[in-house]
Amino acid sequence: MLAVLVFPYQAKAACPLNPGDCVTGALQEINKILLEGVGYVIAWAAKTLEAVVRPETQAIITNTFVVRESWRIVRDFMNMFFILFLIIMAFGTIFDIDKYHWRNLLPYLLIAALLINFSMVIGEYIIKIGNGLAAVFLRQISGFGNDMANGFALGETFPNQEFSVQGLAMIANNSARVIITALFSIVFLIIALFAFIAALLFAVIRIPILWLLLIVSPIAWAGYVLPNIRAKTWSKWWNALISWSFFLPVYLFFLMFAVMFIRRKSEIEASISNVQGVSLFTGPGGALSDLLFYILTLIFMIFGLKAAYSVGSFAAEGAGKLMGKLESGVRKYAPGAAYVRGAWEGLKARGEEIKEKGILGFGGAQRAREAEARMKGWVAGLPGPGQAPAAREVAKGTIEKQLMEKVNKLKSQFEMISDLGKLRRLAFTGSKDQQLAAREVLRDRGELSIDELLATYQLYGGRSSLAAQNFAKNIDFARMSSEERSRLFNEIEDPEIKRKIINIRAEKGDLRSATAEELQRYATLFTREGDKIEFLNKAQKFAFEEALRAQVNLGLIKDSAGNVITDLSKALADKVRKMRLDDILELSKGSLRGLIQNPETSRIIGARLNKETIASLPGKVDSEVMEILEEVISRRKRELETEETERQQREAAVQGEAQARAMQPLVDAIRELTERIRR
Amino acid sequence: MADELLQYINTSPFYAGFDLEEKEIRKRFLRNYLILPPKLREFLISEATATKIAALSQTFRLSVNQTILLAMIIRYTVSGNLFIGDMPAQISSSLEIDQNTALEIARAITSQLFAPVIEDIKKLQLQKFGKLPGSSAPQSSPQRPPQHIAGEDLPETGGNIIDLRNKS
Repeated sequence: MLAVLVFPYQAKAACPLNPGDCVTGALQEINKILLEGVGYVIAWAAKTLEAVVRPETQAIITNTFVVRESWRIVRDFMNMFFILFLIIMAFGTIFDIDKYHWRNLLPYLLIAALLINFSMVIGEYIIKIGNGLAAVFLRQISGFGNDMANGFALGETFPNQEFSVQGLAMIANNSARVIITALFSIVFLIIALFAFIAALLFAVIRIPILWLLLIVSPIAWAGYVLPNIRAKTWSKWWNALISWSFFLPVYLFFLMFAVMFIRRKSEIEASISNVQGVSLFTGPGGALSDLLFYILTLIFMIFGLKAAYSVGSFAAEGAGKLMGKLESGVRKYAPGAAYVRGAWEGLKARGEEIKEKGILGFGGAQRAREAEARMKGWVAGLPGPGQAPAAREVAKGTIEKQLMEKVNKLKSQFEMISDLGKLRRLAFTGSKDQQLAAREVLRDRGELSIDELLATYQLYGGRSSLAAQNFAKNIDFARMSSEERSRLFNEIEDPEIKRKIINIRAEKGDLRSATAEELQRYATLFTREGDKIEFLNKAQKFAFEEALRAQVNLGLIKDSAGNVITDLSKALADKVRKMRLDDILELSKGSLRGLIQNPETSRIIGARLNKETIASLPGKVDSEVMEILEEVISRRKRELETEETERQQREAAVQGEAQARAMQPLVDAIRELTERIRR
Repeated sequence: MADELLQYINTSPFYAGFDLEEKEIRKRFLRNYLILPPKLREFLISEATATKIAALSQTFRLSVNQTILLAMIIRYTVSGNLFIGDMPAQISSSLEIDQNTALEIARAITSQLFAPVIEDIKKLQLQKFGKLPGSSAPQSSPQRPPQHIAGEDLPETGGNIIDLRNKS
């Protein structure tokens, strides 16, 4: 091969007599041809890349009619799936599948249903952000195609002829030097070529890929609703969109460095040439310094490509997190969740807050506790040694707050654990924080026994601890048996928890056999009159008369003029008179029987009965209540029959009188005739 | 208003004579009522049924007590305690009226009053007694064998006739 190349060189260029120079010249010629060819392709790739990344070219991603129309078709099709999602949600709710329960899916459904219609705009916006950033870098390196093409051109790449002639005098074998440099230059330029081709390919295929991503964007948004397909649709789409959108600016950022190196090469060389003692090899125009320039340029180009894709993925993760926040925001504030759960929870929370803190500076359990504490402070005397009570409280509060934060953080991790055994191990053998967090999870799942609940309450610090209070407050007392509630009520000393328990006990009918005195005692747990009445009203459902007696004893029942009613029978009659029939029917059987057996209240209830109400009764109540109510109906029937009989008697009497009046003239005539006959 | 209520209590098959029945029988009825088909439950309690029975009683010049007894017979039939074929005999004996009039009343009941719920009544009767009377109007006679009555559910004086008068 060398022979083939050497001879034409010799013939053409008047090969010097030295054959070594002849070989060197031939090698240089080969090198030149190869490098020229590669340089040409690089120049073409660089210029094409510049043309592709120009903002005018990139604008076709978002301004294509076919893309818009295709997106519209896909969007309309995907909108139909929302009905299916609702059905899935309904089944999820019916079968209590947590992942598909309406509570969990509604925020996703709302976001998707709304934003699916903006999926094109959102996608376009992301792409435009990417393109905008790309344009910034592009402005810095405008015309880089020419720079790169010139930079990687043959003559610039390696020591020039002049340098070779002077420098080679010091090198023993010129041919070897040429071969080495030729090999390096070819390898280097091929790498550069690949870097450019790869960048060009990425920049070109980015356009149809982004088109495709925009078209299928409604599928991604619809996929956001269902947890099982979310990763495969939503997450993948965002990953791809962000990666491909931000690939270009990130790549251009690295390219910018490469271009800057190429552009400032001559300036740097000039500055180096002024420095004394620089060798020819490493000095300006030296082989090594040239090589270093190009290697650095290549590093930026090749690793820029890799980094561009990685940065895109990071951005995608960021988008995922952003959507997570959006979803949790919707969960808090959006309609649906807000209407139903939110409104209810909100109202409850507001009610609790008002109960706790009072309103407009009045009332509130907190105020009452503060007053109680103040009073205790006055009575108990001086604070502990070296510490004011307030400081002690603050320190304690800070420690508790920290504990609660730690426990809450751990709790959110433990909530993912479905293995009950593992949770129990953590709850009873882990560190204190772990134990508390695991027990919180177990409590929420109703997996803690009463003993364990009480032990956890104590572990938190018992009565004096806010954390313990929080723990106890979140116990689902309603799910427990009457005995369990009773035990917790007796063993937990915190008045707020006691109030919560006693309210639930009243609602659940645990107090059905409580005496008025007992109910009165429980009612004193509440400081405000309204709370006492509310509690006793709850107890009334199961122990009507006793609860009412307690209210009378506590002076909680007033007439319309505001005077306290002290007569139980009057209070009873008043109360029943004010109650709707449906409320009466909701009373426990024992309470209802008591009312029916009382002639006064029975009469009041009976007076409420008419054709419509008694016709509706069998559909509203069970057979036992119906049996009780039939006593009232029977009494009412007897009253009606008596009224009817009396009415008939009255009518008969009136009719008799009329008949007598009609007969009077005849009687008078007979009487007169009889008189005449006698005479 | 009061008249209407009293009339409803006396003529509604659900309530008619409820205070005359033995407590155990009434309790059993109240329990069974809840497991009856919805249409029959509605029929027993409906004001329309009560009004129709009142009209029937006027047509056949029945006294208040006879009307109550008639409504009770209807209750037993609809709740599956009295074989529908035995209704004429039961009407005749309970209301102390001749068999022809009883038959006419029974025909009027089955053709007019029972019309909207006849399929449910048939199903229940078939379920309770294993058979139905002939396709025409009830053909039974007072001598029908006693197994037609679900004896343990009702007070009876013997045979298939329920003595509605001698209950307390």
